[in-house]
Amino acid sequence: MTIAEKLYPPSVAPNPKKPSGRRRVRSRKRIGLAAWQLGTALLIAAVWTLVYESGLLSRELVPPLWDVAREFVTLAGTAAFWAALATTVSNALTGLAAGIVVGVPFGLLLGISQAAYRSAQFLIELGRSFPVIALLPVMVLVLGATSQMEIVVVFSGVLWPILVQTIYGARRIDPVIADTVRGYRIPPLLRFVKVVLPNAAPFAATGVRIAASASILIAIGVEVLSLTPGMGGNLARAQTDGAPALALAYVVYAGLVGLAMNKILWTVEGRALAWNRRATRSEP
Amino acid sequence: MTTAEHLDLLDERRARHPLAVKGLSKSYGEGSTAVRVLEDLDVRVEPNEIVCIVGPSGVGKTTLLRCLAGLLAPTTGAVMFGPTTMTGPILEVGVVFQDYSRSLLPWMRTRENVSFPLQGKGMRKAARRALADQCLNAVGLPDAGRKYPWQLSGGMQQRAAIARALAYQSEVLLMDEPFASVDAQTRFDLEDLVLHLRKRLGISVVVVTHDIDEAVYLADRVVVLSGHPAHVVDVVEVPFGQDRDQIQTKAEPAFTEARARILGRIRR
Repeated sequence: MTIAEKLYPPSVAPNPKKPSGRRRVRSRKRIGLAAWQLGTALLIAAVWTLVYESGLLSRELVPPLWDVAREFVTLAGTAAFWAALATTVSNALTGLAAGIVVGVPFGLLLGISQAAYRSAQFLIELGRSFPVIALLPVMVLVLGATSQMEIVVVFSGVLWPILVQTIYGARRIDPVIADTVRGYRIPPLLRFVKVVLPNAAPFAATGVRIAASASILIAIGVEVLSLTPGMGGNLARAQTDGAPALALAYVVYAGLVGLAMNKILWTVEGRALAWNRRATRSEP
Repeated sequence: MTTAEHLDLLDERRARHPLAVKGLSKSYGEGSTAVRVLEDLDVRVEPNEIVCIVGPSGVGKTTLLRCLAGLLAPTTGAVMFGPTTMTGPILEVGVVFQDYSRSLLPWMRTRENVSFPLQGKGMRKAARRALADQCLNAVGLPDAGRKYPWQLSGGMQQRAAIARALAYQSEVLLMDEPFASVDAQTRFDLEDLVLHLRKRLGISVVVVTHDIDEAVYLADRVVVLSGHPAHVVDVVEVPFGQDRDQIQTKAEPAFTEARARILGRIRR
């Protein structure tokens, strides 16, 4: 980014007609970046093929890249795959939504009340460091290998980043802003609505983004381990059926789902909290 | 600056009461580890007066200003606004911080930044808006209301912070190193803005600064703090009246004299 671009981000540029020279430099940069990314992908493919051809690892375990690609394309044509994808994503999103509904209000409450924060601090420290997969055997015992069980486990995993980030955002008010608010005797309710909430919003949004990626990971993890229906269940079955190429194709799809989720949330967040993206010039 | 026609709502800002500290001392910490920062200060700001507080950095100028604002409680002594003792921030005393970039709320447009303290006072929306626009006009920002703080330059942000203090019906403006982080030309403009607002609105202003030229240019009286704990080592009267000029005033022999005297007091 040139200095002029830093000073005048596109939407506030004093001159709406950008000089074409800069655009050319930018598109050249973008092509350069794409070349690097393509190069990295090719390198990985080359290493993979080399490992396969050398027979370093059993050919039963490492399928040729081409097989994975073929399974990847074939999968997209089957109804079972799309049903599995829908199940996994809907379970993950339901758990995530529950995490937001519980995490954000509690985070705000704990953020503004020092007493509440102190009394809950230990529980939060414990909760966030607790490996959620360890809950799985108990949950399977209580709820069975069902979608409900999966949602509960996703919820107990994604609650923490949302809660912790929201608490942090509600507590971390710039001292100059705190002085300003005090100096102008802003009453508590107005302070909460106009200062604490908007201040916490970008932090909570970051928590939600972290949680969204985690929700897909946890959902698939639960499915793999408990053979609950969904992408993870299919993946685990493909593995036990001795179809590693199919299993790997599922892995690639799982990664793409997580990536898409993050991208969508990043865009939504940019729209809703434009002031923050602009004021801090953050990049994804 | 053609702002006179926009100031009808601001006329009642005229300062009526002196702001004074009496026998003020301030210590941080307690018991044997307490550090005394300010020792037995007496400073009085008359209505419509500009007082500058100067002193070496770290002497406690900001502590004194925060006490004047009601943001810090004095250890002994009192801060008086007219006949009443201040126990916290009051309507009539507004603060403009050095760090303007952080004191404006980044999620609000400039007009909302200026008007939102008025919401806390229960003012209606239309009145808030009108007053905010008038104050933005008064500080020379008639077109900035719809912009976000990050779309404004440093000098413009500081003007917006001054507008917010004016809108809040402050009779006394307290400014903590207000122009320390803007470029020289902007600083001169803002100094002249302060002089203009004082004359036009009749407000009183207290400016904490480490810049002696700025202090002499702005002030009717310069209070010099020095020592540990800090005490008032000198009070210098500056005889230039309300109308000043960046070039002529600074060329006056009285300017050089006041400047030399203050510098001498701080160095010693």
